[in-house]
Amino acid sequence: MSVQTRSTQDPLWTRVLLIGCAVGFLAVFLFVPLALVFAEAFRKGIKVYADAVTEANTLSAIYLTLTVALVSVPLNAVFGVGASWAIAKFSFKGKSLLLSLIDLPFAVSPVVSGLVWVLLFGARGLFGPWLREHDLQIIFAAPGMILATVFVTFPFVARELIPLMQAQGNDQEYAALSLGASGWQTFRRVTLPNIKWALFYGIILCNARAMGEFGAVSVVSGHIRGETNTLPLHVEVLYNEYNSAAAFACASILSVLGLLTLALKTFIEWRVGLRRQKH
Amino acid sequence: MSIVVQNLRRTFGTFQALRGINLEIADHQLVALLGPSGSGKTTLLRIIGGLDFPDSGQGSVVINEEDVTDRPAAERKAGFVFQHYALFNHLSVFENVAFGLEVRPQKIRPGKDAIRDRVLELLRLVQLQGLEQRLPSELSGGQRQRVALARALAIDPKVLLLDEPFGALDAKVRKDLRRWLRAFHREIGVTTIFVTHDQQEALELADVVVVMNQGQIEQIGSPQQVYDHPATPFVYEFLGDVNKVRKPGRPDLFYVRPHEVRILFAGDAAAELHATIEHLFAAGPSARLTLRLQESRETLDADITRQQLEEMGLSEGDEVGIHLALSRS
Repeated sequence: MSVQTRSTQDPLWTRVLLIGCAVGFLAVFLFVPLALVFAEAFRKGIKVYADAVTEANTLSAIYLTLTVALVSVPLNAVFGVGASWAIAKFSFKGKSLLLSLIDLPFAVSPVVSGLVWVLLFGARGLFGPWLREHDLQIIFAAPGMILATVFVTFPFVARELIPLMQAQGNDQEYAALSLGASGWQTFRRVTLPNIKWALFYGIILCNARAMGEFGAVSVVSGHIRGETNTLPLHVEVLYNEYNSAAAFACASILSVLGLLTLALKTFIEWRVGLRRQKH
Repeated sequence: MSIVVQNLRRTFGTFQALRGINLEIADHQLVALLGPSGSGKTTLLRIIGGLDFPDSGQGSVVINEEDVTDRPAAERKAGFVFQHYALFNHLSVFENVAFGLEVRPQKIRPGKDAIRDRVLELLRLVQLQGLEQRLPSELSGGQRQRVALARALAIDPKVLLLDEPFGALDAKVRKDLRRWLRAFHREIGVTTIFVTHDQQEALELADVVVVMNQGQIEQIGSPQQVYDHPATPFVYEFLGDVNKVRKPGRPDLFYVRPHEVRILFAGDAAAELHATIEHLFAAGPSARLTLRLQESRETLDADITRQQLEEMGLSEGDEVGIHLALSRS
């Protein structure tokens, strides 16, 4: 009895104080900055805002951001599922090493993640001369930015899937195999349906990071306006030029993307919760 | 179909799960692999089903005179029922049972109507008609077990492999399902191997009991053979209650089942040993006596009929004579 009612037995002032602290903290550090982004963006009116987001360089930045995300997120979804499948369903030598490697991008500073690619593919890098001979550009171009983004966002899908797949075990896969299913049929008809929500969730997180990544992409981008600036880089450029209305306008686009991600994430959690209740 | 396993070895790291298994199973038999946990019985079952493989070059599995040792599970047509059923949670009962037919290559896949007929027939067979649209989560444990069985049967298996089929069920359901499986096996006649650690279950259900311990087979025989004529001390102790006693003046150990202990009056000339009744428990048609031997101070359990108990007028503290009706060392 006492356990059940304890939370409501705490004195009123304790509850007010604790809830007040939490709400206050969220307000100061999350809501206010977010609101300010939009306030700043629209401060000089809707016309300025519209001009800023439809300006050629902004559109190019949006386009590049979407391209980078569109290439790197599917790649990481495939890599992530493959890696989780291997780790959760098989035992092999070097498994813990693979696990650590998957976490590496979390541990390494994004700047380093970008520099690695410059060292490999830059003009003075390992493959630089060869690339120049064949007239291929990776650094200071979209391919380099995609590579950097793939590296930074690699863990998101795998990290979502591994615990789930480990918890589910192999019995259903074995059952499918003993019923005559091929490896691919087993994956498509049994494994994939079992992990689909976690996979979707991982993809959303991966996507959010892919669109928002700054550090690694900044190193390999070269900041060529209208060509190699993603949205976060474009915001920085505009801000450094004291064009704060345009900077905040672009930032608001990123914020909207973030809020959309949050909404999707909540939706998925709600769906999964619903399924649990049903089962 | 017949199954022949020869010289099978399986090692996990440094743990020897199977150390040289030889086993022959004739057509249509219902076989129990019986042993404590860690005895290797599930590993043996998985290797027969193609879900695990022996150490390379260590042994062979022949099903129906065809060497399948290196064949993957998909090619063996062995219906496998898992301890926790492993039903596909996202598919309905119907889709679960149909799975093995749906995944066949187009050339040998039955038509939609044929699949439907087959699935409904199987569900009738396992007495689950009307539940085909349910999800596994909406079924009881016993029902899930039967869905798993129907799903395994859908592929017309040459052999049916059941891993602890009743392990996750409560006592009442287990008993019903045991009886049902016995009749069911008689009806379909598919060679069936099931794994269990419950001796009662193995003895009641199987035609042949294979007793396993520490990766080896201790004895193969009919339930009566393994119970009445245990080949090793392990089998003796694992199957049913057993007393270990020494007769006076002899160093060797005797294994005696409680019902093989004959209770006599203390002065009877046939008495080999003498004891005091420490505890007496009478319920049902028989009575269980716990005896303290006077010669060695060891305890001994004895089962006698209620009739004998009343005729001899025994009660706790009485002294009795003992004759060991059947004794093996």
